[in-house]
Amino acid sequence: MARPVPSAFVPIKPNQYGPNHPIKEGSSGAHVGALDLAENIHFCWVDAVRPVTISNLWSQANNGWVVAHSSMRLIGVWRREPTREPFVSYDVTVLYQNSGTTSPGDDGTLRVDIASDPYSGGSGTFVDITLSATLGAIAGSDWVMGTGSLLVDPSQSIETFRAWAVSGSTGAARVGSITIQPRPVSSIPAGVETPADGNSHRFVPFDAAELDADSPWSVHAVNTMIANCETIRKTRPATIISYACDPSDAARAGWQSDSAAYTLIARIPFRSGHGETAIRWSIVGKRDGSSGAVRMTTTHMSSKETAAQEVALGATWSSPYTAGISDYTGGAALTCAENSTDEIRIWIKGDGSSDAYIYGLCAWFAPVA
Amino acid sequence: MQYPPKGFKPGGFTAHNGRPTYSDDPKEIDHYSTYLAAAYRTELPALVADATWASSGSFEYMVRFSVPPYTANIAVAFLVVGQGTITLECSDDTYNAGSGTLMIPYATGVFPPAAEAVISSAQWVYFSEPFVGVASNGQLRAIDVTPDASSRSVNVHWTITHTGSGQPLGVLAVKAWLLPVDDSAILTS
Repeated sequence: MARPVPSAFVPIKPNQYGPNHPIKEGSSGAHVGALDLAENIHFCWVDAVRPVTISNLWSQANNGWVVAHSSMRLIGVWRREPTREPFVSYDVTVLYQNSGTTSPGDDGTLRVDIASDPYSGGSGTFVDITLSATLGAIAGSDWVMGTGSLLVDPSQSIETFRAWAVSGSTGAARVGSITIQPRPVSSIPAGVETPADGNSHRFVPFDAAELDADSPWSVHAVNTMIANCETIRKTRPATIISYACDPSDAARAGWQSDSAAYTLIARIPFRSGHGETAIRWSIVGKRDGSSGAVRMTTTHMSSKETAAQEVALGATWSSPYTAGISDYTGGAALTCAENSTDEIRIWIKGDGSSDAYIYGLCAWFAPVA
Repeated sequence: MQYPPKGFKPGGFTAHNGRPTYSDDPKEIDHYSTYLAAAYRTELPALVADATWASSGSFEYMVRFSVPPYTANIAVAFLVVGQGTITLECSDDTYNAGSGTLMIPYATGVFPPAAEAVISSAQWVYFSEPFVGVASNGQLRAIDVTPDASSRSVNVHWTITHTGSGQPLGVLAVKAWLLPVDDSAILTS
């Protein structure tokens, strides 16, 4: 039987489940049908609640957004958990400019792939988005949008997303921003889904036969629908920050310091939701000198005298770009109070004469247990 | 539910065998699903990019924001130091939201902008309050988006312009959040 998903949320009048308005079987136009309630939950499961996975700007101040290369160049690395079931693909949206005048000769390309199945000679898991050369002279507001779709395995415990870009024959492509978000699902699988986030939440889809005239409106059905709502809320944690810059050019690094003492370089505000008390993180960075490190904490951790998380930066940054990535699994998650406004504070230090750099920083809420 | 239950506290309801199923049960289910669709909003990622650390000129940024159902406004805050203006625009909004001239001094001569003296002086400038009946530019407010029963995406665009003579304008972070429709609104599909 079908597990129907409406194309939009369907508001129900409150008086339709008041006195003398019994809950009907199926989808009922004049009254509330039990399936109406289930369908709205289905819509929230596959569409309405889809936190953004990655959203990033490239700086214009240091020309960090200009792509004037003759071969694909890494311009961003983000390490974080993939969004869980039922989502299996992501919408990738890029806003760009291209000063080339001849298409396709001056077209550029933005590629996004994943480290667990990297692009290799046309195979692997990746998406290529054309940066069309149609503009000629560029004005500041001449942004063009490109879109694509990227498959990602939702059962991976953590994944590394990478963005690469190349310009065309002449002119320069400029990548201004990127947004990566789970793509809505058009249908719901028949089976019970258990998102692979380490918890035991389940989503139980309802089909029309379960809520028809021969199937009583049971306490079990009520509690299962409530549990489905809980699963949606608890398995869709939001991203607090998903920053990355071009790691090939030290001048373009957004955050750097050669000071031997820790220097505060970022304050990232966030609002935690109901039950959200842990923040998972990843850092992409390197050092030029003999030592370099990053320190992170929250206001909540400072007030509780909880030790900050510290990451020693490595000296290596070259393909396959894994040596410069650290994440919470090598330390611990940051902590916060639920339902509160707080701030992540980030410090960096070098060795007193040579710089240490942060090329990327991701922080996201851990799923609610 | 026809009205977004903003004050809804999730997870506090269980139906029990032996108790007659009456309107509380579907009402709670309807409350929760409407809360998820029309009131619950997850964080948008903070955006970081150093901006107009030059002595003159302006920079423009544009980001594609995903907008869940029944979103009425996008509020934006900028962590800034220096002197200049910020103009915020959205593809759904007829008018822009500008800041006037910001003047947030910091320790002079401190570059690059990541230095602690700069970020310690930085202040948040909020475009957070939604206004009704906006008919002019520059009112320092949350920008309007068109509410819909289904999910959408909009382009949000801001311009950072340096206007000072000794203190360039720097934006150290940008934070946006989604404001759902007012709880007096009647939801329609």
